[in-house]
Amino acid sequence: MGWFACLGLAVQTAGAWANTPFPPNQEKTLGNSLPDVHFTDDSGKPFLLSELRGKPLFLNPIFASCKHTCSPIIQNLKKALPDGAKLGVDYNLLTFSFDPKDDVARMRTLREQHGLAAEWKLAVGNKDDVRRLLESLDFRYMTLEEDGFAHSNFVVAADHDQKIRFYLLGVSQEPGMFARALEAAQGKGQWKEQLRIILFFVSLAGLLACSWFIMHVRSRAHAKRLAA
Amino acid sequence: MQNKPVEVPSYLRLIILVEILLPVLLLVLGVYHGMLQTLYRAGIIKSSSFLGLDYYQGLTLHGVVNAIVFTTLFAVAFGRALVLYSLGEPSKSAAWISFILMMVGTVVAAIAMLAGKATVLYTFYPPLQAHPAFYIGATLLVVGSWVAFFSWVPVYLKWRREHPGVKTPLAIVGVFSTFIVWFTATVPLAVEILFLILPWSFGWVDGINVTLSRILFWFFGHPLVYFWLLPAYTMYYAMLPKLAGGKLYSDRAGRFIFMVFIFLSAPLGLHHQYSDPSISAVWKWIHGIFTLGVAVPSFITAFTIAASLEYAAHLKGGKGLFAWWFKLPYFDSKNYLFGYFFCGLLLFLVGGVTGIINSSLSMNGVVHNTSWVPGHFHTTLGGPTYLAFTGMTLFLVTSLTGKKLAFPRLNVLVPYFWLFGTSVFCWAMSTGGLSGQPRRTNMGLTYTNPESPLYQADWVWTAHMSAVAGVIMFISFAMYFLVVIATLMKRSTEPKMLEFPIAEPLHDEPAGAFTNFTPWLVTSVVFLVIAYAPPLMTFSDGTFENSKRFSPDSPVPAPVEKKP
Amino acid sequence: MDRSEKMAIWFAVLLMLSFAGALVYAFFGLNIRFPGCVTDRTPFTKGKVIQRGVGEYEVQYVAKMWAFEPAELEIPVGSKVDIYLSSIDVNHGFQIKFTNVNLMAVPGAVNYAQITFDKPGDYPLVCHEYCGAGHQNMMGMIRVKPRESSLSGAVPESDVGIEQPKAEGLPTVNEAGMALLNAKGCTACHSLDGTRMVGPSLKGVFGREEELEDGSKVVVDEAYILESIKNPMAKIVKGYPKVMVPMPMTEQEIKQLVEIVKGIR
Repeated sequence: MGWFACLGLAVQTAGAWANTPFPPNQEKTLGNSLPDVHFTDDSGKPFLLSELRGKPLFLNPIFASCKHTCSPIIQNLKKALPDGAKLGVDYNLLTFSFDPKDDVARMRTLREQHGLAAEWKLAVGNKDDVRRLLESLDFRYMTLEEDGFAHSNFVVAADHDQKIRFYLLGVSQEPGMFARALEAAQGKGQWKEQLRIILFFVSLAGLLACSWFIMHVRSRAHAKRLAA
Repeated sequence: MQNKPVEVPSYLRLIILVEILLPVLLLVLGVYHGMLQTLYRAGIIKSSSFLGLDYYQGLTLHGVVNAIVFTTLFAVAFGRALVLYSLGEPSKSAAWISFILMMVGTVVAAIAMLAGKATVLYTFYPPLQAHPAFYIGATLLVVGSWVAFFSWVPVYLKWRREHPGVKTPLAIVGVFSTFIVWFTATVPLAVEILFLILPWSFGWVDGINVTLSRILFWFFGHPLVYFWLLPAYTMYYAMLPKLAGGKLYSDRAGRFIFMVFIFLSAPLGLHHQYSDPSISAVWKWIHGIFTLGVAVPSFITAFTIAASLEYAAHLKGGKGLFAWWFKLPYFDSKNYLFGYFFCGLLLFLVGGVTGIINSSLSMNGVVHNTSWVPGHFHTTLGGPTYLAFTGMTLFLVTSLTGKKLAFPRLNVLVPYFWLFGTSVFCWAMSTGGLSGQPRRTNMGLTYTNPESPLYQADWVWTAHMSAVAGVIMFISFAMYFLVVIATLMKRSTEPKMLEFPIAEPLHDEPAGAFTNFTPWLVTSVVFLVIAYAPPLMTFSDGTFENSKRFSPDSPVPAPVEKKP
Repeated sequence: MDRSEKMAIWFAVLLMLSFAGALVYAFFGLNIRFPGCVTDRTPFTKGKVIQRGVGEYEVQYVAKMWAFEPAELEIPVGSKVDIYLSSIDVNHGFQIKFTNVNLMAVPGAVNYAQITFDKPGDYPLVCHEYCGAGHQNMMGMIRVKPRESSLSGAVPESDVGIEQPKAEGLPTVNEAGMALLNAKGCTACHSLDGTRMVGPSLKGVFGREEELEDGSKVVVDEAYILESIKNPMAKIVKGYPKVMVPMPMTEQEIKQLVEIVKGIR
């Protein structure tokens, strides 16, 4: 099945025009368990990442002073939250900072800025733990001279066992992508993904066959015309 | 359908002779400096210049003369001769205009390089800046070649109208596909030079987007190599079988591959830019996959030519699975073109394989910009292209001047010396490249200089081997040059008629889908849009500033005129 | 088409398809790939080493004519390094010998590679894209120290690139002098105000006593300045990389430069 997954990644990546710098190596990360992390939420309460087990979990790495992509990512997430499922009940959403300089106050400010629901978790974490978490997600970043970072843009969906299941790449998502991610995190609808892959290759084969057929018919007609 | 010998009008004879002999003269400098480069790199010359030529200045000359001037002038001259022979005489004024444009362009660019004002190598990547004369010279050379090609199109169309139902001569299919590929290649080059580089070089615009200029250059740079290869393929399909004493195994295979090259030679230039930043990783990979596609016509060529040679050998009594190879005219001094073509084929076996390796994205990181790369292209550009072009030059010289070839027994050895030298060169450079040895570097000053703190001992022996090879290659060229000069000094004794040894097909099938160029031209445009639109639309997502002009001698940007 | 020709075509097509399959696996399965777009914002103009944790580094390399910044990097074995690369002048190459890191440093763009150094040793860092007269001098070094070495694993940030407070006072070089220093490329690597760059600062250098790499001391007099211009690799100050290349200039220009350097207070 590994080969098939490869092709699937090929299709998904090729179609992902919403590019992110440092695209994650999903072959390496999908299916892996998240490490445990000591977090502190924006009200000052400490908690462990493992306490969020039992429900699908969306992880959104950002840094508070980000002026470029983090805000749009959060805004787009807000808009993309599906109507059918309830945040906090059917799934959890954790926006955390990877910037060692961010603190609880900055996360609080972030919540106010974006007007995020109480069930939307914001947190800062222990430096070494967070680095291990970023490694498991294959999230990379570069320190900028002018302050801030250039970093991967993605949201990760993990299942109830905190195994990585789906990546939402880029700053904005096509409609329905979030629902697809949630389905993947719930362990449902895998057949839909496989069907997508099969459909893509069938259409490609069909395109090639049509082109060959047209060429063949044309050349035969041409030869007939010459013989006449 | 055999063509008759053709009398060449005297103006065209002059034009063709100058277009093939001037490059041979320039090659003296070009091949000399090639040998010198191997001596510098081996640390035998430990200096930044030798006899008045700086290493990098000579390297620029080596690249421009050998890869641009020699190849373009020869291809145009060869095209003129073939069009005249097979189709008819094109416009005389267009011939003169194209000739003058190309000559002026060559001279202007040569002056810029010899004056040391264009030490930017033949790729002239900005922000290294050459004197505007260099770019203008290149533009004139290219435009001249366009004028020549466009003047052949009406002759071709007239011929098709007058010969309905007759297959276009295969050599003409070859020449036209060569120049269609050339035009496809030189349009992005013209865009790069006219819209990006010249305004910046003149100082009208302060900055240049380096990534965009590189994308445009390699949009040109890859089909360029097929412009180099296709005339050699034309000779292999249309002439080599007859020179071997047989027939062309499959005429349709030839037409097929020339049409495939029309649409697959260009939409894959990003494989020269795998390690460039700010170009989509996925599109780089897609170009790599397309490059595997363009390898298929070369495999088919290998089979078809080998099959033709086998047929010729059988006619001479050759038998068995391999023994027939011994029945071919390798050292027949009256049939020297066979040796020139055959040695090129052998070199290309290595060149094609190393080309596939280079274009494989996953392996490219091991070899990019190491000396492996010149190891590769000296078995392609320096293999079939160089040998077919120099061999055919001799043929055209003797035909058009009516002089007999001088030193024929020496001449028949020239390609074999070259084969030996270039094989050793490729092996030495490839081995060195795999250990990280860089290309385009004057290693004698540092990396292969034991006195230097940067000394890399493991690069020395391969550099020495390539120096030995370089000397052998130079000896081959010296022998060739002697033959040319001695031939020119002879008195004219033969009739000055042009007759190419055109092969008959063994399997004469209808051309079918390969009768007309139009569907393939359309396919070419579609592929180009698919392959290049996304990278061109997205490269600016990863670039953050334009670059100033830099001279090769100073890390300080060239001053911009101060405004009062 | 006879049988042999059909077989030949099938062979060619199938062979290329198998290579294509290998490329699919290598790209998507093994994730062997070069980076695409990293950022469209000016990321850095000076070389920097940032330690994120034990054995985890972010190194921002600036490629310039004709040195890498940081020119030398010392890290413990087993370190994972995120390399970011840009150029502040022309195109450069970046190849870490003995590894598969092979990048282009293109001005106006940032390149990226990640590498874990599993074996101790000296890894030369070579520029393989022609970048001007000093191209063959452009080599950096990455020294990967074995576990038993004195390197504790906590590497201080390299001094290269950190701005030191600029000295007060009027410039002591006139416009013509500055023009010459700029034209010959001196200011690309030597500051006039005390900032440490690729080379030592020229501020107050005349008469100063410098320690050379072999431990001996030298006083910066006219003879030393003259030698440093004509034969820069002869006596390198301790702690600085050996990357200066003799610049083409006339005897008169050399004399002028010596006078100018003497006057930089």
